[in-house]
Amino acid sequence: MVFSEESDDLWRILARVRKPSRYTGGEWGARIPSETSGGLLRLCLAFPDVYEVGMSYVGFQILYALAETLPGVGVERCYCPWTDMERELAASGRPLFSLEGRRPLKEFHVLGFTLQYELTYTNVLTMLHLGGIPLRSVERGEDDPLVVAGGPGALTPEPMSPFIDAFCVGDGEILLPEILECLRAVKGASREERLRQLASVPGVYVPAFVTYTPGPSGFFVSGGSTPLPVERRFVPDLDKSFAPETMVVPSTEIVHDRAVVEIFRGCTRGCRFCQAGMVHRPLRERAPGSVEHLVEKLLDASGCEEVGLMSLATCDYSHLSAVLDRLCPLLKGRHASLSLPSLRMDAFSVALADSLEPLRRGGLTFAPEAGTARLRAVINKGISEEDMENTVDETFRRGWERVKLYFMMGLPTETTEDLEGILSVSKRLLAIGRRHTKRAQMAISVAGFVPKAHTPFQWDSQATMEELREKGRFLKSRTTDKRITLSYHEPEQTFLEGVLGRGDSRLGDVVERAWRLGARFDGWGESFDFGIWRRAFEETGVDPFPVVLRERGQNEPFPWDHIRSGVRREFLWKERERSREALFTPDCRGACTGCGFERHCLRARGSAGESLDGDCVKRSSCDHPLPVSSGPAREIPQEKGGA
Amino acid sequence: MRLRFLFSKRGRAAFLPHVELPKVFARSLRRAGVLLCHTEGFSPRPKISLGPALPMGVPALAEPGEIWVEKWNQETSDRWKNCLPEGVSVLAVQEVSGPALHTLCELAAYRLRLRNPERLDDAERLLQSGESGLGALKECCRKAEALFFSVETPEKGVGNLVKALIGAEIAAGWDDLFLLRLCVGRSEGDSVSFDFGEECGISLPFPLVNVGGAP
Repeated sequence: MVFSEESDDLWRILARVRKPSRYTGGEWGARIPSETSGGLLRLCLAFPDVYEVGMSYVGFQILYALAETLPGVGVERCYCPWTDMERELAASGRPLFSLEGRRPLKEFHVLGFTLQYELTYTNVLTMLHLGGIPLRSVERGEDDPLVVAGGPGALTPEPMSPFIDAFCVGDGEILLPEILECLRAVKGASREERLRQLASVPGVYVPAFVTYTPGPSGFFVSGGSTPLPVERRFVPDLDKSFAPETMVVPSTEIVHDRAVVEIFRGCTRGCRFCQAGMVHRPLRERAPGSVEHLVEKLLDASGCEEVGLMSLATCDYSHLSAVLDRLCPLLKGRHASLSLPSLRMDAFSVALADSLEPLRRGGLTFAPEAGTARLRAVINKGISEEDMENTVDETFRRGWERVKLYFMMGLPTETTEDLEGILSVSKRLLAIGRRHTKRAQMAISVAGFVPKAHTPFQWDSQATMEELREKGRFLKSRTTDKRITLSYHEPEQTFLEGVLGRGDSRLGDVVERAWRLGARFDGWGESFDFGIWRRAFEETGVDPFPVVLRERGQNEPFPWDHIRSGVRREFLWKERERSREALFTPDCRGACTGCGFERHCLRARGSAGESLDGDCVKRSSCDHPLPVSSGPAREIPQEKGGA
Repeated sequence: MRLRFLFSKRGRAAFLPHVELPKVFARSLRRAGVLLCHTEGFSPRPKISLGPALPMGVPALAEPGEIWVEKWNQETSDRWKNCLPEGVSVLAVQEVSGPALHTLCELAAYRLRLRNPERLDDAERLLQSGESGLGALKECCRKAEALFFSVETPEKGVGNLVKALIGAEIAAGWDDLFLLRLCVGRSEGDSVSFDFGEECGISLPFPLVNVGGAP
């Protein structure tokens, strides 16, 4: 009597590692690609973080389902093995493999990474190394896969440019079919020729074909034998682009375990610190009928008990009430529930959260971001003290007992008064809560601000680690009320995020050195080791401080200048100037701010129908927004659409 | 409507944590278009109960479970079987009434192999000694290089046995052995059988000494 499990050569390893189901695959909706006569173009979607995080990423669900529809393409997935599994694979000599076909990564034609977060960069190297692929593009041979990468990281590609053969800048729904079609056409051609062809696809950036020049902000791209600048690609109309009606359904617990329908992409609020709000323009809304259709299809195909309506600010969706009305019977009939991950701070949002969550699990989370009205005007977070008071009042009135508030510290122009504002606002809001319940509690979370490329604050200096630690301690020491808990992020990760987010191509050496010295899962507190990075900076001779701790000149060339998000540099500068005068720029649905997408916005409005214009007018005069999430906050990268 | 079912958990699906199985079954049933009954209260959950828990890494050939649904027929049963993730199979489904599932789970039968088969005698002695961390040993026999045994009070998890084997230095860890659960049920002569609802007459006996290969 023989049981097949006993001859599984991975079994002993799986029996030793933590959470072995991370590596077993076999989820509903995942398929081993079937061979076709002409041979498959093999694509492996590679997520540089653990399974539970990667499986929560909606972008891969979209791209996986999309790739399955492409003729001649076989798609599989791989996530970064945790350090215990890395050791096991290395010791056994077994290469890192895809979940579906258990195929070593080096046997794929294309490896597609997503760069969602700077502190996953070393994990990309782990996956390449374990997959049997040379780390650097220049070391790869004819038979090695092409390593491509998308996601927000592709907008600031230089720190990863030595390791990535081609970056895809913009929406994956439009780029993935084009690059795969391109590669199918040149299958069998030399690596150089395949990269040439890829570089001719609009939105694709191939670092091998550019030349660098040193500048005050590090090396910048000054030319090359490829079309520059690379313009970000975007789908003009969500209803006309691919949207998945199936998904890979996890069998084990993941971070965000639900079906997800993206209701709009882009944001019109114009918060000056927010990269996502700047680089996903223009606003593109899905029609209510399409949302309803996708929710029904996805719930039935996945069997999920919950569906999330995803966007950067769900309450900004023009047709929210209409969609909720239509979804109600559909959800009831299936015993399914709805989640709205980012609600704003107003009575309507609280009422909405109330209707979605009959049981008061945990609390509600809001993000005022800054402690004073002046600083909120600086960052263009249009919310008044009164809005906050009303929202918190409504929250406690409806029976919640805990409110969590997100703030940032180290924002441009911040003073002690602004930090004290965080404390006094928290106290005032707690007092409002205590009018409703003696058990009222506030949890305050303060993150160090990281100025991001492609935003109005891309010229700004980041607060030093010492400053951030001091600010954190200041806030903590003044939090004396037991009913208020305050936590702040450790400044080392914030620092590194800033360096990798605005760094140049020399950072590639640092990333590799840090990885060789043992840097793994830098986004995870339990494995992050800043000492390793300190050594990596020293040993490579790259000084990280000028990257983040220096205010940049208005016309200074940046290491990401060759990548265009579509938002004009002049607009970003103007917004920065306005921020210094604490001038608020209203939501651009009311009046166009001329960011660079005017033409597309007007076109989108003209074709969307469903009285969008009428809604726009009403909306511009409505109360100030504030994102809120009704679920528990987690210290992991947020879900984002596209790839 | 209360349905009793038998399922197997084979291959790498054996590494699915037991606590995730209700969700796996609930989602697969929803995919099959079945309306589930939910528990009362503020936080309704699908009504599902399963047999005694298994640790990760132990495949199972025939595990019992019960689920409450609004409607059921043969067609939905067939659809369900096609909506499960890889490695999880539903072998039989039957509507039942009467005593609760756990009262029928009196015995559990296992097959144990060790990487070092020379230690099987020691493992057998450990099982006989009553120091195995399991319930009372019902039967135990050697066949080829495997040990077959059944024990009472199956809710005492088989992880205890692995701990005892490691403690006695018979195995160094989970990767040094291969455990498999043959079935859970009641004693019937020299076999363990699971009573699968009296009306339908289905019963799936697993004679200890004669258990076949993979179903």
